[in-house]
This record gives sequence, C-alpha cells and structure tokens, in this order.
Amino acid sequence: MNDSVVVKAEAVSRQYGEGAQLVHALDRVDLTVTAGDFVSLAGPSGSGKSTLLNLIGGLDRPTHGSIWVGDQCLSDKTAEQLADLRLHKIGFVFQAYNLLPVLSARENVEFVMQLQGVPARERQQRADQMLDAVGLSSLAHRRPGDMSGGQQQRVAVARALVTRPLLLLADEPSANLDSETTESLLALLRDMNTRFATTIITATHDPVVMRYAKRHVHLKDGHIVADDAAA
Amino acid sequence: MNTPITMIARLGLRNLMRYRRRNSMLCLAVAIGMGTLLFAGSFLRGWEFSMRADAIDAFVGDLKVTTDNYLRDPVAEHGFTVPEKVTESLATGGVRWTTRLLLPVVIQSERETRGVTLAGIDPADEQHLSFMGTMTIEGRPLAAANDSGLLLGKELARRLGTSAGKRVVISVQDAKGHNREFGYRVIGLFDAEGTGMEQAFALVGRENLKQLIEAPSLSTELSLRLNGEADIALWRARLRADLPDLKVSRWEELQPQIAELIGFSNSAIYIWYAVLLTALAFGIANTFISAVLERTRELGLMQVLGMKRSLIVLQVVIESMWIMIAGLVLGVLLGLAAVWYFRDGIDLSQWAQGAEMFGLRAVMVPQLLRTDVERAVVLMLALGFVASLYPAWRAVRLNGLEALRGRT
Repeated sequence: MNDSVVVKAEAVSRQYGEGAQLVHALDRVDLTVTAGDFVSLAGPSGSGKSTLLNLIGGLDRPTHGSIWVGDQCLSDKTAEQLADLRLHKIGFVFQAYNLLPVLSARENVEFVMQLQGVPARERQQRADQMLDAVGLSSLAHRRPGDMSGGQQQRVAVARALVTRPLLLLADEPSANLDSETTESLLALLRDMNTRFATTIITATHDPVVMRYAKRHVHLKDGHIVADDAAA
Repeated sequence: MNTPITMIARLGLRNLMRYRRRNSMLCLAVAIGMGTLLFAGSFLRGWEFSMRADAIDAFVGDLKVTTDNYLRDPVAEHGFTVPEKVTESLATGGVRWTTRLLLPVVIQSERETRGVTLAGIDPADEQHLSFMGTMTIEGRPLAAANDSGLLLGKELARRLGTSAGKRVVISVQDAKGHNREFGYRVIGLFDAEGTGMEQAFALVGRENLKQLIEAPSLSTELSLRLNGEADIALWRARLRADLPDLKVSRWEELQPQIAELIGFSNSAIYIWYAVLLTALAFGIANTFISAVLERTRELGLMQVLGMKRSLIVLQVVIESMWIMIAGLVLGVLLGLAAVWYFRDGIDLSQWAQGAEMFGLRAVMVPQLLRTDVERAVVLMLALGFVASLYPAWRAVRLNGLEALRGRT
C-alpha cells in the first residue's frame, strides 16, 4: 500500500440481522483516505456513515471486504490486536464527549498515554502542551463534571490528539455543542490537521463541519453517492 | 510509577469515593461478615482449647508413660518403676513431670458403695500439671505426697452420701494381686468445674498409698507437661529410647474421643467459614455487577480507546479488592474488639448443665488464633477475587461501541 494512504476500504459491506430482518448498512463501499486529509462523511440518518467510521476504527467488523489502516489489514486482527491498533494509531472524538468522570482534564488527556506506557514526566509535559493548544491549561485540574460541554469536547480532542495518532475519527463531534463552540472546535481540528498533518475523518450531519473539511464524502443507503476526491 | 496498573489502582480508588454510599454499605457488610467470622470462630476455638486443656489436665499430660498392659487393665500389677536415669534426665531437662499411682478401687461410705479411681498423687507436682492447680476445695487440701487424708470429688461425695470429716473404706488390689482394705478420713471435697473429675476420682497422697500397698517404688504412670509440638516430639523420642518396654502416648491417643471432637470442631469452623462466605459472595458479586452496569459507558470508552480486555478485568477486580481490603481491615478490628471485650469469658452458667455435656465450662473464653485470622483474610480476599470475576467478565463482554451509546 502507498505510504501516503492512511485508510483504504475495499468493497466493504456490513449487514445486520438476517432473513427478512436483514439490513445492508454498507454495501460494497470503496474509500481511500490519504495522509493529512480532513474528510467529512455526510448523509442522512441510516446512510451508513457511523457504520463506516466504526469499521475504520476497528470497533466493528465488515461482513465482506477489507479495511486497511496504515499498513495493517483489520480483517485478520484479534480483538486485542485491534485494541492495540486503536491505542497506538487512532484517536477518537465522540458526540457525547466521553471523558472519565473521576479523572481531571489533565488525567483524561494522560489516560491513553498511560495505557501506552509513556513515562510520567513526558506524559505530563505533552498533556500540558495539548491542553494549552486547546486553550484549557487553566482548567487542567478540573473534572469533567465541572466543565461546560464545549470544554469537555476540547479535552476529548486533546486526549485524541496528544498521542499524535495516524488518524482521528470524530463521530458527530458538534452534535451537542452550540454554534459558537462548534466553530471554535472545528477551528481547533483544522489547526491540528494543518499543524500536525493529522488525518481526520468525521461523520456528521452538520453543514458547518462540512465547511471545515477538505474533502466531502456523501453516503446514502449504504453507498457512497458522492466523493470530492473522485470528482 | 508509570504502569497502567498504577492508573487502574487510582481509578479504582476514585470510583470507590464516587459511589461512596454503595461502597460503604458493601464495605460494612464485608466488615461485619469478617468480624462475625472471627468472633464465632474464636468461640469454637475457645471450646476446643477448654476441651484440650481439660483432657490434658485430667491426669493425662502432653505425654504419658505406662505399661501396655496397664492401658488394657489398669491395676497395680501392671505398674512399673521409673528408672533413676530417667528421673534425673527429667529433673535436669526443665520439664514439668510427676509419677502417679492410679488404681481402680471400691469406695464404701456408711450409705453407698461405688467403683472409682483412686489417684495417689504428689499435690506439689500437680499444681502445675493437672486440674488440681485450679480446683476448689471445701475442707483441707492434701498437704504432701505422704498425707494420710483423702479428697473426694464433690459429686462423688453426694452420691456416696458422705461429707468432709467422715470416714470411707477403700478396697484395692495390690501389686501382687491381693485384695486390701484401708480406712481413710475424708479431709475435703474438691470441685473441678466442667471436667467430670469430681464424679469419679478420690485423691490421696502418693507415698502414703505406696506404703499401704507395700510397693514403695511402684508407679502406674509418668506424666509430662511440655511446651509445644517440638518439645513433645523430642521427649517422646527420648523416653521411647530410655524406656523401650513402656508405652509413651500422646494425650490424643489416650483421649481419642476428645481429639476427634476437636477435629470435628476444626471442620465446623471451616464449614462455618464456607456458609458465611458463600452468602457473602452472592452479595458481593451482585453489588459488583451493579457497579459494572452503572459504568458500561466508561468501560466501553476504555475499550474503544484501546484498553486491553485483561486490563479491564484487572480494573474491575482491583476495585473489588479495594473494597474487600477496606472491609477486611475493619472486620479484623471488629473481630479483635469483640474478642477483647469478652476476654474474661462469656458466662454460660445459665446453660451450664447442658453445656457441661459438651465439655464446656461455665465461662467460655474466646480464643483468636493468628492462623485463623490469616486464613480468614486469605479466604475473604479469594472470595472477593472470585466474586469480582463474573462482573469483570460482564465488563469485557460489553461491546465498546454499544456501551458508549448506552446500549448493553
């Protein structure tokens, strides 16, 4: 696989249920994302965008086809190997922030590095730098319950990016944010994309998010119906 | 420390504080369970100790030397003479020991005749060797081994219809098999609570009895009190070597029923542990499952972020172990406090008659052994570990993504 290709999906299908209940969430989808891309996966509910994001993140397995992240094919990986891949190569940002409530902002940012076994001093230094980059250094010791939704989402972004992942996957990152916070978050993502050349794929309904993305992929009924890159 | 385990331990502690009320309740349940386990166990141990002490105190000792024939037929003919080199070795060996002359006799008062055991003893030796050190006496005690008086058990005196100051007649077979009769004056009545000795024994001076049956060097037993198993093994081997024609028995061989009862009591302690721990295990597992279900989203998040399943299992187990450790510390303190509170014993006199049937004294002193505490702690930790495995298994079965969406 070409070194600049970060994600490659080949004829990926995902079906749920069986018999009369069979649902084709994705149907023979091909997608290639190169390093430094900022891709928005858009489409109506049920179009398959979150399913595709989950398959790329190794959180689900395709019924048919194969997915590559970097030089690793996800199809033949065990659950533990997929966890390892997520730990070292992929950062996640979710709609509902999903921070660990008993940890402070800084500890949440350190969490993944701690799983990676990064030494304490380096971990703290990187966490502080990243919190500074997302404008939250003054709230480093606050727990999620004491922060606004926008602040929590920034901590989640800091946590996702602090390990310098190959790929950042964001599932509806603006869904719970007001427009001002959304703009600020997207500016941050774009900044990270530019500064660290982090490849970002985001599933979204939000036209504001799409405006910030460099490439737009539209899905409908489990098929890619439009892709800027193909144009 | 940088390891994920440090982080997991810290997360565990914080989660404990987060669900303070539920975890406090569980911790309290573990503490009460542990405290009850130790206190009830100490009560059974107290029973064992009193049975063992009574068995050893009943003219048995830790080791007893007799002839083989005496064990089958305890008469004067089956007595023996303790060689001087053995008495010298005992005297210089720093052990407590004595010789006795225990003979079956017929005792006759003005009203009744009964078969009892006549014990020729040295009262000075017996102070540190047998129940005589703690028995109470109405009247006068035996002054020395050549005292010519007789002490009767209180209950035996009642059955004979006699009392202190009166005379009784003893019929006994001497070492040559001849029947002899002697008159003795009852100088006092003894009461050895809980031992049953006062029903079947009459006590006289050893040297006086030897003189009466004209056997100045005769003993039917040599009895030793020792300090611990190592001493018992050492002296048993030594006596066996020095007295190859005699039988050297441990108290368990001479009182097999008591030894078996103690064995049963030991098993009862472990049955008691098993019952309580099983009941506790369900409670603990149930609470831990609730703890997992309440946090499916977090556990799902950890999986999504790349935390290995083994670490998630460890996370649930460590949280459980924190609660167990806190509960156990409290529980041990609770158990120790209860045993300390009852250190002078629990008065069973209300039930004393029934209790005596089971070898219980009117006052039962609980005994808490370090090994019992250690075993209970290890068992409880093992229980906490096992009880946390199912919730941990539930945690790793969660689909990270579904859990994040709040669907399990």
